[in-house]
Amino acid sequence: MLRYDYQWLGGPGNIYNFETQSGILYEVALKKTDYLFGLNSPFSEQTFEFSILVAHNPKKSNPGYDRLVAPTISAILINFFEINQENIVIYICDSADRRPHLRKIKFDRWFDLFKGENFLKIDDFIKDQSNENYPVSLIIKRQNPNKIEIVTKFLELIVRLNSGK
Amino acid sequence: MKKEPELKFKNADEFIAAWKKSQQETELEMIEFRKTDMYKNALEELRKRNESRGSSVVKV
Repeated sequence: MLRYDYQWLGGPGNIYNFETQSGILYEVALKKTDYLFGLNSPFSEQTFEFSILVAHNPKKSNPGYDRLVAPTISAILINFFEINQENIVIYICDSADRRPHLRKIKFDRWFDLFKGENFLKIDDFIKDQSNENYPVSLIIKRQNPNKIEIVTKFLELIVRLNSGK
Repeated sequence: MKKEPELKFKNADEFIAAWKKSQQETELEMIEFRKTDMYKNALEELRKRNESRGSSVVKV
């Protein structure tokens, strides 16, 4: 399989970066977050928010499809879970440009490449008061000893947020 | 009795607002991080690796 060479930089949000053949520099951030399960949750320390940023784009226009980006991001996520098998990754798709579902499709493509038998992804959505849907995904390793509790808490949280209670 | 974690958000709007704030913070932190020698040196290292290989693509 071909992919881009990447490196781990650490920094403010577990930053990884890689540069494409067309000179686009991507950064993947996996930033620790306490807002999913609450500050006192035993899972807060292992919960990370996934983001992808374009740090440099020589073309200035939107980066087009690049078949090597998906396997690169998959490899980064695999590496991240190798650091700690009990990590929890969440991804929320931005709806600012009305394309959250396209982002979701892309994220699903990345996940499909690395899931194998080892990873579990739970998908749902959060609906705000203006009825905007934000697709949200949670990824954990199947071997996570707290798997059932994490998934239950995640689904309970989504239900609670969407019902406004 | 096990204490339930304190949740910060009452509804989806509060949660989404916090997430958007977190995203903006990440972007600002990254702008600062890119200015550090550590970041610049690491990027130079990555580019040297790519240059010596003749491509940023690796086969795994």
